[in-house]
Amino acid sequence: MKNILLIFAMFFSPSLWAQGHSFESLPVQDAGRVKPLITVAQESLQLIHGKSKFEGKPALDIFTTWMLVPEPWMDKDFIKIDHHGLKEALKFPKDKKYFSPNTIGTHNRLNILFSDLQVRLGRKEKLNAYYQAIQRLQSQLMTFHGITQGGIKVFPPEKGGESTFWIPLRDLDSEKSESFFKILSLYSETFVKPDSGEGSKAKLQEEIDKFTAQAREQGGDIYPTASDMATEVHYQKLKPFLWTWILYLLGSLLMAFSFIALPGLLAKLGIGVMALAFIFHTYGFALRCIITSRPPVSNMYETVVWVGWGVFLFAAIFSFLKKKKWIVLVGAIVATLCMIVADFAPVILDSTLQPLEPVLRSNLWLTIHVMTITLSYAAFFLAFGIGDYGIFLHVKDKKKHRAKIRELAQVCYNLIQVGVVLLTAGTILGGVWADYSWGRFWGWDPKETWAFIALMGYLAILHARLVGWVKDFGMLAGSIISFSLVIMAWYGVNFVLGAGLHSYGFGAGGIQYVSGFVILHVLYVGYAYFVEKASLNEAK
Amino acid sequence: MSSKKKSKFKKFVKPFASLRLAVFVILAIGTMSAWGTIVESMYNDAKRAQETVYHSWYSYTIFALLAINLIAVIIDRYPWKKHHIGFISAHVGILILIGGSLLTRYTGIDGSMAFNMGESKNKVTVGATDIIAYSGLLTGGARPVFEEEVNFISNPPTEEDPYIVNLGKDKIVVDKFRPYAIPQFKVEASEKKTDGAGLRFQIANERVSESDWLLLGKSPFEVKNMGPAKIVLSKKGAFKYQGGNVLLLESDRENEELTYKVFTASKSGLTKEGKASSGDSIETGWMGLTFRILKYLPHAKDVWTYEPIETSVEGAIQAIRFQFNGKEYWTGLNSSVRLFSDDAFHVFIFANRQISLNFALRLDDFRVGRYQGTMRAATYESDVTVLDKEKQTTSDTTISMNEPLYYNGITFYQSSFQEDEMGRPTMSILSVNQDPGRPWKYLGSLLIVFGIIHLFYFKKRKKVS
Repeated sequence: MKNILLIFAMFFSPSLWAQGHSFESLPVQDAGRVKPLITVAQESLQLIHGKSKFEGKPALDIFTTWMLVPEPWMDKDFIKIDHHGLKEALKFPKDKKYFSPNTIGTHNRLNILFSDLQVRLGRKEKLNAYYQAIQRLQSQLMTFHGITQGGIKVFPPEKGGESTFWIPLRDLDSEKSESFFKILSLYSETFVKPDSGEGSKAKLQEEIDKFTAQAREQGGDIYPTASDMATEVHYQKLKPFLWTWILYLLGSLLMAFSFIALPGLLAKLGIGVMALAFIFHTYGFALRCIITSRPPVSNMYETVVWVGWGVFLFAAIFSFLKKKKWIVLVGAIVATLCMIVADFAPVILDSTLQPLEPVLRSNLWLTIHVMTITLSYAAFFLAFGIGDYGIFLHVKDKKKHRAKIRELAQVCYNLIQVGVVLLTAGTILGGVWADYSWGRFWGWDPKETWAFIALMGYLAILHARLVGWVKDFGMLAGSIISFSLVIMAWYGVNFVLGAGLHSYGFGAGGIQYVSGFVILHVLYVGYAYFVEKASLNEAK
Repeated sequence: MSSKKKSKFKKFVKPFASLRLAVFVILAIGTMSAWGTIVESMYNDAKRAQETVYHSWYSYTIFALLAINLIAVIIDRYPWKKHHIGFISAHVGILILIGGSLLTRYTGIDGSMAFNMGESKNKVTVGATDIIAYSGLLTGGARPVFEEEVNFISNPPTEEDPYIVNLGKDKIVVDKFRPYAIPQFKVEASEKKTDGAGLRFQIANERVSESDWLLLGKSPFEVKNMGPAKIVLSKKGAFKYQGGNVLLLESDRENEELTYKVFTASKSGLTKEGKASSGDSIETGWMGLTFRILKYLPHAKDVWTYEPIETSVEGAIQAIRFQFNGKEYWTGLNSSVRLFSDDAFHVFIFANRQISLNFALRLDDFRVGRYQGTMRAATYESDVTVLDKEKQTTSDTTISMNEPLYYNGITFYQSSFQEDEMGRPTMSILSVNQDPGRPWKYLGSLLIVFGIIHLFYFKKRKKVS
């Protein structure tokens, strides 16, 4: 399987045929694993600046200049601070987003903030948004200074030795460190003077080969070869999930226009583009599997990607079974939403490829449990999208769209059934996993509990339908309202409640957007409900 | 049973089988659970949510309603047809699951064991808390006179409604409870001449500065290791120098004087000596370290206070206040207090319950695997030996994350560990579990999943309304 994907990878990126390391594939040890330089550069810029580029220049170029000539950067405003409370505490202007290392570093209150944070961390207190912002600033500064002061670990330890710690640039002997700086300055020529010709490129490759040969000699198999790094370099350069949402969006637009003009052609084209998006989506997911050697469903970012994938998969299946194009259209729109959120909210959704907490390592049950539960979220998310559409038709003209509304409600019902089966099975599998690794089948852990609450929400709808309390409108409205419970289980537990054993998924931010999203939908359904009520009264 | 009787019975059952009741119960369970997660988040304390919400009388009532509803609806569908398979399986599954959970709750063990390196233990600490008292005459030994489970989180004692421990002539009145308190250690002057000295000191040079207490109590001397040097507080003449860098402070019980001696290893012995008192500084001659005596108490005792806080944090414990013989005391969870009246003494204990196993475990070794180039733990495992006296066997095995040890129906899981400042592991913590409800919970789960799938996808006939 891995080989097939690698061949596929090479199809996308012919440069992988190259034998030796390229500049971007130089191995660096960082945060518990060895990554190619390009990953380290992109993750660092993302953390420090909040974007994947700085003034239009790619992360790798910026990263190179940080190491080569740090001085000019000290007074440049590029470190992002979002939190208003933190800006206030530092007496920084609120409308300013970026600050220079010198402005922050020489601030007299900084150390007080950091030691205050340390006390809280020591007591394992729950950090509120303000302290999370301080923690973030601390890691931004540490990362930046680590890079400028030669802290990046580029050279492997002795093969067969005890230490797993790679040697940072600043601790290398002068010959090796000069060699590395030569690589940096030769590489910088390629973007400072792009027309410097093939000569300097050849010199760069020569220097890289020299450095990596020495590293290989010391580290042996610890030092990865270019092909070991190839998948990840390819993943970082291809940005499959960027293409995924662009294509989903394009496909959705084409399909939407097909309801207005050229139905046959545009619909076919739309489906083709969506299929391509799905291929990119699957491919990106598969690449992450290979890079981390595990199914990537262990943090918010990864589950958002996975749920988006599930949404489109369910939409495609239902669309095919029921022979209705609009289902796949709704699915593509929801998938677009997922992938845009994943791509544009890196501060909240950490896209870095992280090693796992001990309790989560190499466990079949865990993987199946998380994938099953999140797949149920996908079914509910699609039902939510369809509910939105149905309520819209309902408000617009209930009588005219009666048949369509019934159809939509029926699909919602079927999707909720799928979701309930998956969520029940997933929750129970969670119990099996917890029993297996903690000795506790059910411990009222908040993450589990909220998944259970969401299940109760959907079960209430299914039972209320049997009594006749929930009809077509109720099914559509219920699909929307109950999804708030899923949002709470999926996002709210980690970001709002922030408590419990599932502490591996914690992060901060975005609460205003997510709660805005939920409240808007509640108001939307409330409005539709009153319109419905009024029309019923009129009929009487 | 005649058909007439049966229909009467069914008539009686009917209202309990109502779907409306089912919807109500489902929503009530959801609301109760949501409240529980909010309580947990507010107090940063899972145990509190368990005690005051999930295992409260109102959630038990809701679950009892659910059970009645389920039983009634199953009876209501009698005589069962083939198409009822999914329906019955799912609902019976829930009943079995609830039954299994009750079995776990009331007959299972859910606790933990913490081991130092090389230590053997046969006691499991569980979440339940007990009040225990031993009493005896001042002349003789003590015997247990009181033992009772208490749940102060749900029923906190107050001044109006205290918790009373009767000890014959004496009694202990517990009248205040703090769910989260930080124990703090304070040293005060003691009136008792038999109590040893207390010394607060600071040792500092340009780069480091540390201050701490040394407290003698009843012991002849106390040693504080400060890396390359030792600080020793001793009863006069009790400590004998045996090499190394040592700063010895001797307290004379009679005239309450403090004297010091500096021993330096590189100069093979005594380099400095003299008298000392509060506020004095002594140049040690080791790496520019200056020793300051911040406070000297010829007779000192330690006093524990319990600072209340709003929510649970690391290091916070439960604390209670009690009255005995006209005096007020505070004590924290898992500590004991000695109390003396005119003719008797008592030991008062507020502690987590300990359950004895009929075998012991010994921790032989503990290892932490780290992610490369970091101190982040990736795996951890304990080598343990099972010491079974009854069977006269010993066996060693390794417990790691996801690979527990099963012995005599009890399961030991690697749960966590503690390490010192250098990152060396000092203690391994296992969670210990005995769960008689387990097979029932698994059976119930299987029935539920099978039932739902059958209900949704194999029943093609229309519902009879």
